Amino acid sequence: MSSTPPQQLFTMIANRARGLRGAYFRAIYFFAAAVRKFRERLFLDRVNFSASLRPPVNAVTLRRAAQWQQAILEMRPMVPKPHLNIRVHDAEHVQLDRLVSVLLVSNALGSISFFFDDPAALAARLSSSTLREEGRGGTAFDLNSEGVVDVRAFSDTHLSRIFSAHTGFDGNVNSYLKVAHPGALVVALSLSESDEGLCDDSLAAWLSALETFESPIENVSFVILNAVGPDALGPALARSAVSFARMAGLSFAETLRLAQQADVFMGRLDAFGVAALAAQRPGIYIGEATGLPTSSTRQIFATDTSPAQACDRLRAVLVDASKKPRKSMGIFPTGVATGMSEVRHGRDTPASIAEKYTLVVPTYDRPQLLARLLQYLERERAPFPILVLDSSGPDALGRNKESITSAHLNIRHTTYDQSMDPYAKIGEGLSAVATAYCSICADDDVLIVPAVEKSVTELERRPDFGVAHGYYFNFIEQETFDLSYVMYRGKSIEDAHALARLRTLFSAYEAVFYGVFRTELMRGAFRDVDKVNTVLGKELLTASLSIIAGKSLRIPCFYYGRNTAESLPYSAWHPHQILAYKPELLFSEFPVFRSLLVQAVQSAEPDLRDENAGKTIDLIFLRYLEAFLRHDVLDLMLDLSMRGQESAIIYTSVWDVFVRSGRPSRPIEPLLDTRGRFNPQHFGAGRSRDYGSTGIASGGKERRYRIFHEFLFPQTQPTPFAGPEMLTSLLRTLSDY
Amino acid sequence: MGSRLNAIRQFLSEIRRGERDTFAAVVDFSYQHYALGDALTTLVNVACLAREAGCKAVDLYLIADPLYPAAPTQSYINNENYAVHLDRLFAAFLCLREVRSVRILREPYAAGLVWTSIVASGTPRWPAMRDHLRRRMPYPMAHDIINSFHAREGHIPQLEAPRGYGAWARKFLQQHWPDRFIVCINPRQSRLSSMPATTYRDSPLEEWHAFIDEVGARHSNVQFLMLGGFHEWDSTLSRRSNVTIPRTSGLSLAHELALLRHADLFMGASSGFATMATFTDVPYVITDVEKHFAPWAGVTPGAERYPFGHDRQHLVWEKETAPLLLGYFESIYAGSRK
Repeated sequence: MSSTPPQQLFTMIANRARGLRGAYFRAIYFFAAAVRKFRERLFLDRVNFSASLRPPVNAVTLRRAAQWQQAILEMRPMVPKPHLNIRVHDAEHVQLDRLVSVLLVSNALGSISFFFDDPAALAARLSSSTLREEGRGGTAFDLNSEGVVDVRAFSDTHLSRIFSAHTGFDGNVNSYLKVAHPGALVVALSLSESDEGLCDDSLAAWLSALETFESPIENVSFVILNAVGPDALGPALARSAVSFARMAGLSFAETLRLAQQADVFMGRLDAFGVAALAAQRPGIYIGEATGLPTSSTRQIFATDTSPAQACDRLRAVLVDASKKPRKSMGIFPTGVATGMSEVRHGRDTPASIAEKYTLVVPTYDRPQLLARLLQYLERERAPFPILVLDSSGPDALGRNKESITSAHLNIRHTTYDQSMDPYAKIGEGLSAVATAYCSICADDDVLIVPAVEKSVTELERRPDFGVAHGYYFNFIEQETFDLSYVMYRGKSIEDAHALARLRTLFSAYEAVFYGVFRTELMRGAFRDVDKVNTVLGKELLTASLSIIAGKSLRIPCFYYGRNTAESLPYSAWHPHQILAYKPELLFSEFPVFRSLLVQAVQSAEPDLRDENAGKTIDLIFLRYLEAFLRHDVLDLMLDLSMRGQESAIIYTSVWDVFVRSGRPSRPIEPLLDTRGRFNPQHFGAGRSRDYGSTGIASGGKERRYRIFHEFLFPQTQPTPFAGPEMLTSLLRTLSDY
Repeated sequence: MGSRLNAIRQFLSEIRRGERDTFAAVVDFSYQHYALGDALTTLVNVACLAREAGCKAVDLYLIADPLYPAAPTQSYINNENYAVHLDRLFAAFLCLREVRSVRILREPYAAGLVWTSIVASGTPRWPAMRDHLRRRMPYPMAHDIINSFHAREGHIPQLEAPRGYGAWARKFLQQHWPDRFIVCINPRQSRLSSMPATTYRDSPLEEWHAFIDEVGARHSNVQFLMLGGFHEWDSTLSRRSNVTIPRTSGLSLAHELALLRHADLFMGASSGFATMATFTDVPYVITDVEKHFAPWAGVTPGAERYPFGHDRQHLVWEKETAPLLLGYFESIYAGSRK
């Protein structure tokens, strides 16, 4: 939308008039800016984000404000700096100043609005929401709810914008560190606070622990970030084991930056804690958290610990911190802040994802689907290069070229002979990938862009993992846009040894084909793909070689949507198909397959001579096949075969009976009830319901989503697989598809 | 073509649909000041105008365009640090009870749409369109509107503790200094700041110290709260047991304004905190009021009080001395004990 001629025209007029003196120019600016903003209201989505706020505004609320921004940035807003609308309930008891500080430290935000009653929020809608946002409705982010910190999310590069070094709060912090702690290794402490932000109640215990603390290194200073009431301050100063940043005149906003600039952090996982985490500060982080890294002496996470225990554990952190040079404080260029074009090409990371990752899209004679995928990626402002491997016929090839030319994406288009095997095409195409990471997306599927970015971030952090991906869901677009099932949602495969990983993978097989790979690893997996002949063999070979070469990480977010509409017919792609057509293929192909795996295992672990490797592989795949060798399936095949039926009929019959057996129709309930509550939670697994939600698709048309009961409650698990935030975020993303 | 016409129709229809029973106040920092006193005077001006227009609520728009973040007179505020100044001042805009929304507009296009729709819908507003188009705001801010309102109504709209901090202040004072006579003070000390200006207006600290010590000797139940920026207090002040400096506890402007609103007395130089006291019913002694400000305030130089001030609210047009401060203090203190 920003690149449409009218929008460019009004932007140009507004910007020029804005800088000129004189009432007339200012009037022109107002009008042009108004029209421009109004067009944004008509056409854009994910520009304004809403939250609700109630008293008290305490440490949890302030941390949630950072988490909210994180969530917003993950939704990939359609403007460089999204705007916030906060509905303040019980305003006479809501203390806004610290919340405003958290938001003003951020360089990721545009306007910030506080509404103290509903009519105020309603009256402001012209400039505080777009039509799509209004149409979608949805729940506001609850700033008061107790959200657990996902440590992985808070190690993300978004945080460099949320706790920005470019908002002017650093000068006093730097002076303070130099004057108050010259040459010292500074440990910033954040203690438990009252709802009003005073740490009086927890101070005495911490002071006692710090007074008896024996540092393993010299010249260590402690500074408390929290505010301290007058009654507690006097005695604390007399004991003087620590200094108080707020007493030195630093504001709350400045102490957030101090948490990032100090050498080590110790204390609560509150706003200070996540600020320190975002700056990757070593330390002791106390509070509930998920996504914890493997054990380390650099960052220690504890749900609860006493001050004395924390100080005890601090010793190892200090020794570690004193050995390593101080890391920079997450000060990255402000690129994204300045314009739309920069948003398209990258985030404010030192080396953006555009330099690290390539999306590979194989396509064959489906120009409409490829165009749709590219348009979706453009709307999602995919910042990475895309490599289209095209083996389409002349007509489709021409249309694909048009789609690629018109897309505002970094696309490389390579063409192949129509008869080329899809796996061979990918294997050859991978040689053109120039980034360290890559993944494959089928032209009829949907890739969730922020999940890709997370996967890349995780692979960078965890060198022992070869592939990373999230949850895979099935969808099909009919009268309604159906989300039918979360197909792959298994745990990460983290076994230390290659064969153990192989066993884990095939004990409950979930494909890794579409995951984000280290490029070299994927090239290795495809290197010998031509040595097996069946599609099934090629899939299992690439999956096996991938998992032998490295661990597989499952990130807890939606990553990939698989279109379950009828696809192009492949031969020998499923065990049942092979059994129906030519069962001996399983036996003839397996020896080659097996020898490739044995070689791969030996190559991955040369020091570990396992005489039983071949036998183990045999057993792993027999166990894998067992799931397909059900008596009822084989009996049906036998019956049909002995009656002289053709292979195609046998296969279709098996598919019809055991796969397309249909599902009962279920009543449809709204996903959110009239009060914004999440209905799946309300109805639970016991009452089979499908859930409906309405959104606006990219063309501006209304789209009705149907979320199947099985999607939310796979294998009748008692609680919904995805919560309201996760699911509404997915639907919002899908509105771009 | 049809859809474009529809969009234009929709635009015109929506921007005309503003509310006329709500007042719109626009503080555009590209020509208005980041200054506590000016912000508070603006609020009272707005409250007077809103009541005159029959509006019960006020929508407050704080426009901070990153490209033009401050008035030319505040050239030290720029794109890289305006957030710091906004952060320091924000609480002041919560002092008016009628405010039903506060919007920090940092996107110039949103600011354009807001102003255009305010004008197109005929929403009662401040400042006037001519002034806003010309980016003109005379300083110091005059009391004309306020004095006129007072002349007509016999009272003025009062500032309150920043929203959310009133109950806190009452509880805080009760918890730490129950039954004490609370005096908020703010002697001006620009010379101690990183950017000294008009230091001839600074308060004589030794006179204040002498005054505080004398009150301490006479009245053990009096507690002074030193308000103001961290640079403003002299380091020796914190050694006095009858003085507390809220900023050393990490409290902010919001807390200070709330404490002032619930204090028994304010004493200090003509400044932002003095402005807060001016527009409340808290007894005050404002010292060293500059004579050239008299016409702006609608009083003659040497006037004992503003037209809307009550009999325990005093203006002092000379440099303060310890005896002068003590005299005013004793008179108000004695009055409060009756």
